[in-house]
Amino acid sequence: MDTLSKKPEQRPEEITAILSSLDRYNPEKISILQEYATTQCADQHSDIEANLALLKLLQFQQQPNPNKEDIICNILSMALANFLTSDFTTALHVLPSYVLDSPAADTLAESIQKLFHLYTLLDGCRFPEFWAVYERDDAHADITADVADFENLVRISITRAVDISSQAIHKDVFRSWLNLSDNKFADYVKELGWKVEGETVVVPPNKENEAKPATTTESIKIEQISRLLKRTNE
Amino acid sequence: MDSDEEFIDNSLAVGDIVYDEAQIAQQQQEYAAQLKLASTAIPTVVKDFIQYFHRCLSDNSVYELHGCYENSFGKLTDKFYKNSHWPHPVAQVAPLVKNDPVFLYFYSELYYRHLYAKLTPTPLERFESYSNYCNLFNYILNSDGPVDLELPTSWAWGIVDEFIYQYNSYWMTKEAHNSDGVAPDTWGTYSVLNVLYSLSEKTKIREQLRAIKAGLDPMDVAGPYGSRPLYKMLGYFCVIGLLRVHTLLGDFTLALKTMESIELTKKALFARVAPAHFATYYYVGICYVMTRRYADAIRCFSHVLTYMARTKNVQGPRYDAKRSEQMYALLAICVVLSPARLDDSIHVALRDRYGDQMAAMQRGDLKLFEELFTFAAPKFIQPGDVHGGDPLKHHLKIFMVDVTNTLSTANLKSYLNLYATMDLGKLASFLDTDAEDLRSQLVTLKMKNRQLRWTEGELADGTYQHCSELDIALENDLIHVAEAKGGRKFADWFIRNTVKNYSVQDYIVNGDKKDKEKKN
Repeated sequence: MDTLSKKPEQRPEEITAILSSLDRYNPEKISILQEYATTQCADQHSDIEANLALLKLLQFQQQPNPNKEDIICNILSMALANFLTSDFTTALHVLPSYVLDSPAADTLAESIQKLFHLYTLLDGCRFPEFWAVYERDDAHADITADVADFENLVRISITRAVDISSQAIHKDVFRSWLNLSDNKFADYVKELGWKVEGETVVVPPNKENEAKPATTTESIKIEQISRLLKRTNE
Repeated sequence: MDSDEEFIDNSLAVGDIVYDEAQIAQQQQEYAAQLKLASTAIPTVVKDFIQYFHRCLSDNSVYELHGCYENSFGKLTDKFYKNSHWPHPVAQVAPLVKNDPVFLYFYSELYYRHLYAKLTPTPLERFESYSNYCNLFNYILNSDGPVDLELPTSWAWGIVDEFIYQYNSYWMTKEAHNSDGVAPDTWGTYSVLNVLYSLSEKTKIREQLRAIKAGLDPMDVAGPYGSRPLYKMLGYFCVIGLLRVHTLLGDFTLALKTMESIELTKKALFARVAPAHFATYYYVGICYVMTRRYADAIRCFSHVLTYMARTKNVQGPRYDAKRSEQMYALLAICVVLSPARLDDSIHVALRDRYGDQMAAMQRGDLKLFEELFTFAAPKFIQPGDVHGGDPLKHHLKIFMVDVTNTLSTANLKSYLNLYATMDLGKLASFLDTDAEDLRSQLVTLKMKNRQLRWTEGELADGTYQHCSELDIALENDLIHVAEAKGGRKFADWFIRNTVKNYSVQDYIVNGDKKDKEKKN
């Protein structure tokens, strides 16, 4: 889904009002946006535009904010689960540059660099490696703990990548990409409504999972040939 | 009396050298005076210019002001102030213009702009320039109702452009990040945004643009401020200013969103001022690059580069040579990441500049990506950062993830091109790689070819589309491949050559006429 310009249905009026006025720079609005981010974590929807505004406010905030680190990690975790969009990178771009400098200067930078590494794996569709790295270090589960059902959200995005790229996929491959046990995998596929034929999971046909190159059509605007048309009348 | 005329009338030409009689006499006198007054003396031509300039501004003579702004100021700078300050606004100029505060705001604007361009501003001068902008905007925004003033359009753009440039330049200095600077609030991000937002809101520019788009009369919604040309232009340029500030701060989505209701067409208001035109496309393009919308970025850059190439002779090279080179560099990056057919002229120009580099980038030379990006990117800033980081490196690091993952699929294409279907294991053995790694690469290839792409509506809008001439789909271990053949665009070529043909015909016909005229 296009998260850059589409407004999520769940966004309350109050947040829309903040985002569309100078209030998006008003430090007094931090708490409202913060609460909204927490709600997103619990309800499993993500509103990157509101979260970007919050990340920027936090940067300029003068008073110490005990929740700052958690909030930033939560926003990034939600964006990470949405790795097929540009949410994660756009969020990183508005954070101060020290957070990616190694060695990490503080615990926030340390957490962000962990998430950044996970992102590079997901962005390169190296799903089994992602799960291996994710499980190797308990810190990962801690960082993403506030996002309800984080692992499942990642699975939904991986499934979407399969949906777009494949007409059929080996059971074993798909299972390792989702990192599920046999039983849970069977349930998961069933819930998707995808058929299993022998060792293969069949992905229902859609607009994208066939090989169809971009067709270049050529349209000529009247302005382009206006000079030529004029000439023929002279 | 017109002092510009006087300046020309009294000149004496001896051979190729033009002497200004009055000026020589003045200079001799002034040389003596200068010994006394040291740096405080103002050459008479400059004095006359300032008084004339003052009159033009008070009389709202836009045409004459345009001459002062675009020509005289620059000529006098070359003559007297190549490496030194113009006369100081308070100490030297104020007495000449009866302390007219309004003129002094605008004169100071040029005074500091010249200083930034030719000399290195001291921290105190940065602060003074900032407070002059505060006064100037305060006068424009907070007088009793709109002020009765008209400026040339190019100057209105210049004010907004320079304001942001100085803000940008301030945050590039080291002092900016120490809290014990000259004044803690100098060039604060919030204040700068506040000016830009206030101007765009007070002038109802968004409402006006929306009305224009809907085919209604913008005057109905413009209000007392926005109905005046000066305010309307300033409001509009502030929206483009916001695009730029948000980009500098790394908020690329918000930057695109602030362009709501502005369409990228030749008829747009920004197209009236060439630097505004180029800046708009540059920043919109950068935002598309940073949000991984390469097809949109390519459309943007190739449009404006074509335009720049065509108007090069009219505009003169002074401002845009570097900006255009930067956009070619960005275009090179985008075309490597998301191959696209370009118009012939742009294709040739790009190949001349970056042909070798593009081939190397395709082969995976990551250093070249970093070099080109560093050259072509704006001067990113991070005013809130107390850790002294480097924002350019930060953005580059994030950008390089996409580059690296996209390039990991680059060598697949040359094999896939050759087949309609192919076995994954067989391709893995060709490439001497692991089958599961290859599967990841294939999914990456498919996903990276899918981009958010603008078709209509706001600049930030778009739908996900497949943006490559090569497409694949996986069926277990079977790779289906499809490639668009041909797809060459002919119209541009035919139109250009038809026009060429006409001009040859014209030449032949006119040549005939000339011959006849000679005979007669």
